[in-house]
Amino acid sequence: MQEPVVSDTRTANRELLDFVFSWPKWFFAVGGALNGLLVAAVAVVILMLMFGLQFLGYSHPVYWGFLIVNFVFWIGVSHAGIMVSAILRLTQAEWRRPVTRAAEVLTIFSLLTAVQFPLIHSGRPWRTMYWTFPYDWNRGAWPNPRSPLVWDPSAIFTYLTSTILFVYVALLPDLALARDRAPNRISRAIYGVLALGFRGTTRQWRIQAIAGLLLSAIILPIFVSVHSIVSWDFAVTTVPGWHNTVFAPYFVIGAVHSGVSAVVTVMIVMRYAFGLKRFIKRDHIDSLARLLIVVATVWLFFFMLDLFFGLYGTEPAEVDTWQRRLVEPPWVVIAITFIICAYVIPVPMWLFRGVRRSFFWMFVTTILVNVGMWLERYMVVVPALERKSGLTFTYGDYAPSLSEFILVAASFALVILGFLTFAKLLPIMPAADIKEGQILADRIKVGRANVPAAMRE
Amino acid sequence: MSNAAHESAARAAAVGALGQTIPTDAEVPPSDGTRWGMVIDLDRCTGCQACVVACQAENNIALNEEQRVLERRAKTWIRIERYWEGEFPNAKARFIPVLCQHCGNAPCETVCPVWATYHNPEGLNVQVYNRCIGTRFCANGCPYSVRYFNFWNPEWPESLNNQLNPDVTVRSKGIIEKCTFCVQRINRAQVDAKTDGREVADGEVQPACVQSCPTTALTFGDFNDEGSTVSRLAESERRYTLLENFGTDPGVVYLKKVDPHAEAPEGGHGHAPAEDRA
Amino acid sequence: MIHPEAAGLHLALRPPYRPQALKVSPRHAGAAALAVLGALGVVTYVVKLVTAWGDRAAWAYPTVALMFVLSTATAAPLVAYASRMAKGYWALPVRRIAALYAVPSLLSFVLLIPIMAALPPLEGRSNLWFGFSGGAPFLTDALALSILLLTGLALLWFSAVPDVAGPPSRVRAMPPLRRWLHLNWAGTQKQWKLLRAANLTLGAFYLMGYVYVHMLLSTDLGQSLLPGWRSGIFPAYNALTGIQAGIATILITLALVRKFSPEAGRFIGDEQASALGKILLATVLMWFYFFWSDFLLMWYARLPGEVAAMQTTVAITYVLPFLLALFLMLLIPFVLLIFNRVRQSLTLVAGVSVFIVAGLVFDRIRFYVAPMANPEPFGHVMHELPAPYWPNALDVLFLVGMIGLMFAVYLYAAARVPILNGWEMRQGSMLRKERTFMRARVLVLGKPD
Repeated sequence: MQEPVVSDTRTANRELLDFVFSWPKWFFAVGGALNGLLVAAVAVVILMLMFGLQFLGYSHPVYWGFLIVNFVFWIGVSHAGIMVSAILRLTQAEWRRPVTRAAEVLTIFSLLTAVQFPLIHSGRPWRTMYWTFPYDWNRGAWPNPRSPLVWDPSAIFTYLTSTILFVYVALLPDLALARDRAPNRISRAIYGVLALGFRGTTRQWRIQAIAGLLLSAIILPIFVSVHSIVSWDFAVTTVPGWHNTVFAPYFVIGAVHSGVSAVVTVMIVMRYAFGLKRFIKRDHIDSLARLLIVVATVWLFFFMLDLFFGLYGTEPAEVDTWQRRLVEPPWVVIAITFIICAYVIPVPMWLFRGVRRSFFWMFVTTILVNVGMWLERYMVVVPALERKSGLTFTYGDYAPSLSEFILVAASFALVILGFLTFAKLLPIMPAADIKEGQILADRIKVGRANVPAAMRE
Repeated sequence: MSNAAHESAARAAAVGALGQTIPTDAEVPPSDGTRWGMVIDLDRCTGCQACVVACQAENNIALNEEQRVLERRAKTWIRIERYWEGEFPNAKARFIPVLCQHCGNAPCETVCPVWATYHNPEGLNVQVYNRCIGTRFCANGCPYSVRYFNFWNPEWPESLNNQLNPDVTVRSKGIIEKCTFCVQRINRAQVDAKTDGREVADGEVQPACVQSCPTTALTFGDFNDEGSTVSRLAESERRYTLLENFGTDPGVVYLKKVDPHAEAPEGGHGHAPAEDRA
Repeated sequence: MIHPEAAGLHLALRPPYRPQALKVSPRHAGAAALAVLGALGVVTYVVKLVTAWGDRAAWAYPTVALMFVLSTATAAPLVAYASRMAKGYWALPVRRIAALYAVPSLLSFVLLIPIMAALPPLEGRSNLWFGFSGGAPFLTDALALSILLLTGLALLWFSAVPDVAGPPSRVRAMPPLRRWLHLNWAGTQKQWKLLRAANLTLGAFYLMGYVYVHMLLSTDLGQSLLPGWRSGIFPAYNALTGIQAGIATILITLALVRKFSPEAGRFIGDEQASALGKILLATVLMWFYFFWSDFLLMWYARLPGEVAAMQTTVAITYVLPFLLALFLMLLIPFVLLIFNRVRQSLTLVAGVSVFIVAGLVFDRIRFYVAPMANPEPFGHVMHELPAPYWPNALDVLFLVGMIGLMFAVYLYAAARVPILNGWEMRQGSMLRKERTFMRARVLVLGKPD
């Protein structure tokens, strides 16, 4: 397992930087299509700004829906980068090397996409600064520190800042590499400035390594806090079906589940789109799948806790909510799809080595996981509002409108576009890290077997 | 529980004092001693909806056209909830007027990121339209679902322009609005009383719904004034508050319907059976 | 310079190391003290059985003892099985020491029976069984716990066989029952494969079973007896703090083994302290995270029923045990464990672990005494906070005796089974090499599939 990539440095450099310095035709086609979706979404947002939120599917008393679900979903996906990078780095898992950068970049763009949603979803988005920035402006009132909606921006922006720092520190040697191989003067100057004068001296490497390790350790509590706080957007209220103490770890582990799955999907797409067949191998996907089995099972445990302790008190309103979630049409369809996609199909399949090592099946199952996890968030958020309290007279319904579908589709376009743009401009494969892995790789002979091994850093 | 006998008297007293087990910040009395509140006698309510119309006119609430009602975006600061009891043909309609409960321990207030809703010293749950940014978190947090969102700017036909109440803000799109206990009338009464150099008398302030109720099912007043009508009514054996298990300490007290044929009271815990859904 | 991680293990390879059971002298002061405490445990258990059968409040502190055993002895083997699944090399000399705790964890079953007999009927109170009538909670909980305990014993048994079997000729010469007990071990390739598969699958099963049993027992003996206490995270908190205390127990055991058994102590070094110390620090942080997730929501939402439960277990009735648990399990260990120097010394980490295990007792007191001693377990909310139920002399003796008995049983088991798993250490040492890289001596680890 975990065979290292072995090739000479020169070839590796060329292959890893290939996409940065080439312009394949599909790049323009895909980029154009994605931009088209974004234009549609911008049009919807402008309409919302001009004429209010009447185009969304909200009604009394269901005031949160698709857009908040999508916010939670993308925040969830953003948890992959740190899960894969920081934890695997701290535990010295060798197979992390080709995976890290893509996961971190996915974090950045899914975070940037996620934060759009609570903003355009508020009634008066032009007043965003009033609650995201701790200042009393001209109102004489500071933001209310008791509100989870004030904790949210602090946690998310801290996470965003530290993730960008994390990516940048790891990127420095690769930027220097791009500078040295840039085809023309302008790009050489740009990469040169970005590389901050990285020349590969021992001292620079040492600082870079220490900064990476420290950031890994510091970022972990932030990583946990972000989705916990997102979960508290719901759980601090007394809404039956939302108010459950298990929500924070349940959301975090669900986020890791969907995030790591998204990383696998992205890795497989990158393997073919960017011609990285020699760097992204079956071993990497296999290791991620093993990790996913554990994560998914822990997630299922927390889901069960949520369900059991939702029904536990046999409060009528809470039972109504769970009945709405799991039994009543149309939710029963969503509930079944969700549990099948998020656990019942993928996890038993991952138990087979053949599936874990098949790019096709891993692509299919990880997509399924994210379909399931999107529906899971939908199931958590909306039925609880439809059955909010004992006052059955105010029971409501929610049906998403076309605008919401457009906005959700556009969020996927935005993330993909951001990722593609990054990969076009900057090295998406951590070249220095991969080469370090090649140097640390070793073999140990045990009897007749020749076992791949690695030096401990 | 053999140790209970050895328990000190002081300890027992402390436990007794904590019998309510409601957190202390809810028990802080309003600073100037007023707590506005309402008593709703369900035995008198006929479900005629006069209060709903009066509220609509008084508070510049946008017109609830048929389409608005169908898409459940109609705004009714006070609404008559109708529940069916029993099976046809012996079905009985039960009415509960539900408005903002002006909770002493309000779930909506803590979650607002911009202090658009807060508790004022007179026990009112106040909505500051200017601060509101429309996250709708408060509407989700409210177990009574009495907060309404403005999906668009309200419009009235030309002929109704002079009907608007100049004392009440017309709410623009993108913000939350809800019952204010007709705070403009409270303010006017207080200004009048101050001008005359006296206290506001009991019954002097009447929100539009109270004023219009033909059966005087609704009564408004100060709960902290022991002699007021509401305080007297609230001592009734029939008293209960809506959704007591949420511990919200509402400023609206309901008096149970007197019905010799009624079965076990269900209003006490605020749970109407699901099959009674309107 | 020898890489710190490389110390010790190479000793297992040449000459082939045959692990021994712990040599325990009954005249040793510590062993004698444990024996006395164990006897005290047995006596107080019998006294309780005779005097208080069915009296729920009298079994409140025995419930604390039960949860203590479940959170230390039952949790400790997890380190062996989880590290095996994650291919943690540092854990090789730890695994048998951890797995041996399967024997004292049998005590939990002995404790469970009279406690279950004292439980009130399920009707009229919140519970996890939703009207399921198949003997819940008595039969179901006892069944789940016994399956978990048997799995633990089976794991210990299977993984000990290669160490105690000796050459195939010796096994063949045994009488049938003994031969069966030795699994007919001849060290064939098929047998090794089977052993490996059994270790991994049973280990995974044990992990899940542990969490499941904690969910059942923490609810049936805790939450469901205190009306209004409805916390979804509590079973997870319970399992997590159990793992925290389980790791602490192992660290204490490791330090003692190193001190009293020089022969086995050669293999136990600061590498184990460092690795376990990191995990311990992580669990300490998780303690706070799970506690906070619970506390924040009850505090924020201010639902009267939940607030009363929180006032009972955290703020008012059992505030003293809570504060003790907070300091012993969170604040003191956190402040100490963030220093590398502490984490990298077995003696110091074991010292921190003593705090954690002591804190666990108070943590379990604050959670289980109130429900077990609550005279009014029925209904949806508590209308009055229950009065604190402090232990009487018998309760204290029972608690001390049971904890002593647990360690006495461990000592007894450790004196009969080799306390290091020689076969796994030998295999592991083959996959570790020291190499020279540039001018440094580095450790190379092989990772077979």
